[in-house]
Amino acid sequence: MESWVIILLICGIYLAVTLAMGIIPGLKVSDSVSGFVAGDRSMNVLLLYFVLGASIFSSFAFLGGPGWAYSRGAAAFYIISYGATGMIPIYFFGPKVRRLGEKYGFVTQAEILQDRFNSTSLSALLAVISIIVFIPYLTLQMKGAGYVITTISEGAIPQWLGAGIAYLVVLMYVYFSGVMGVGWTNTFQGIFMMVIAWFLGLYLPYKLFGGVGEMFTQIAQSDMSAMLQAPGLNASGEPWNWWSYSSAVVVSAIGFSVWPHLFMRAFAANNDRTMKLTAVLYPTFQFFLVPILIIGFTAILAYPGVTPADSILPYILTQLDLPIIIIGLVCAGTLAASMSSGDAILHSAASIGVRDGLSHILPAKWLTDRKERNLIRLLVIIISLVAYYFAVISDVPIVNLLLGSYGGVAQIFPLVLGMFYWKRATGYGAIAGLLGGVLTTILFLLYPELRPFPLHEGIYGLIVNVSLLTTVSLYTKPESQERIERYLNA
Amino acid sequence: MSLRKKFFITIFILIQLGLIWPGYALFSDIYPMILGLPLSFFWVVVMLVSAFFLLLWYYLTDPTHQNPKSSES
Repeated sequence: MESWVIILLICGIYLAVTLAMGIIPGLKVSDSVSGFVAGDRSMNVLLLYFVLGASIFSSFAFLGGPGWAYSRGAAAFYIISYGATGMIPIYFFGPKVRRLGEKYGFVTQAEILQDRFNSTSLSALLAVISIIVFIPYLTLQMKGAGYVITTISEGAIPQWLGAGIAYLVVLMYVYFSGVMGVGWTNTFQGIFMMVIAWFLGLYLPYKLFGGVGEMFTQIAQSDMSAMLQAPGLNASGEPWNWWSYSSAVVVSAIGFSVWPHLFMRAFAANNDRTMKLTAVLYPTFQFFLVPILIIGFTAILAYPGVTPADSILPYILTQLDLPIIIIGLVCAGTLAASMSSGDAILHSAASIGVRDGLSHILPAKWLTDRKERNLIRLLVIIISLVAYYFAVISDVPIVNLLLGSYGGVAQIFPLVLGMFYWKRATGYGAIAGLLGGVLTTILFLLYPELRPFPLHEGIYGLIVNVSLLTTVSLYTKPESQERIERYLNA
Repeated sequence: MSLRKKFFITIFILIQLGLIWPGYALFSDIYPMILGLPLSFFWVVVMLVSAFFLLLWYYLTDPTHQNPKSSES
């Protein structure tokens, strides 16, 4: 039997286990929108921890993360840095969000913001932003999955087939089980990814250099030593500047807790302690980026000149004489990383599309609980097909879209703060702030030469956002006292 | 504001500044290497662990925990 057949067999077993783990828990939740979108608000610490953790670690973890360390050195530490503090805000607003969701039946981020700011336009705006960000995100996950299967099978399985099979599994368990399918598969996938990452991060430097310390010592003594000096290198290989590094960390940290698919998991928590404890434990998940980056550093001296940098992990695997079983497991681990993010995004995009978009347009007879759940399922299929089209057929460069999304998503943060902590924040203020912030971010993303300082485009967006949010709010009529108090005292 | 909250915010700001300029700039060198990692890498890991313990302490001292009967599994 050829070795790639064994590898694909291992991936096949992984896919079968994932499918089973995804479908079975869906049999237990209620047949309702709340069951499908928020798991009947029944998630415990273990599930919520893995849902958040594994959703964040996408195929970027196994492809982009080592790629950054490999090509830009210490610049890659920014990925660890923003996650160190980025989840802390959710400790404070997560329990409030959960309680209000339970009381008023919210299941998405836009629903709670729409209620506080008394504005359906805001909810529609958020729905549009979320879907625009989610489709390229999902497309990249599909591409990652297809890429790994094609590389490992030495081209025997084309990219469209690899991505198609992996995401057919995702489509099936998201369709049947909703968020509980996402939860249980992410638990399995999360543990699997962690084991693989630690194994590779320790084994590769040991095999190539005799240890992690020895590997770093050799880089430090080589002419590549500048890579270990923070803040590392920029995309063109020159030393990066502190302005760009620091602002990238800050913008990503601000945006982290308000990503719509992470934020809305607060509605799935079974109690306040679960929500808080999940935020507390999150950095333990973040810790697994340490071996991930070490993988990339290992390749700097061992395999110079590999392009694109993102292919460095599959490249190492094909170069080293590793046991077939291990290559198969790493391959399955990368699929797990891709799918555990893809499922959460697919599920959120469909839920948001129906709850915050279509539900404002469609006639009321279409909006019974049962029909709404079926609509979400239908949208799960449509969104999968759209993303699949971009992943394997269209040549539109989508990476740029995704790069811009971090700055864009961060613009939701001031609204969430205003929702709970500023009673004068009004609907018009929120719309003006969000729209102004997003447009400013897009402007400076497209025309970086217009930036007065080399700061991340999201910083300029946030400045415009907060200014508009405060001034427009102060010049418009406050929301009703009763509405505001519900949120201030939540 | 309680002393507990003030302490939390102070340490939180220190950690955040430790992760970016100017705090991180003081620990951005390669040497000394600690536990096999360059100082720049080791420092980020220390900040990550510090952020974890800060929030853990804040959680454990949370006065609103009065529901021991709520199950976590």
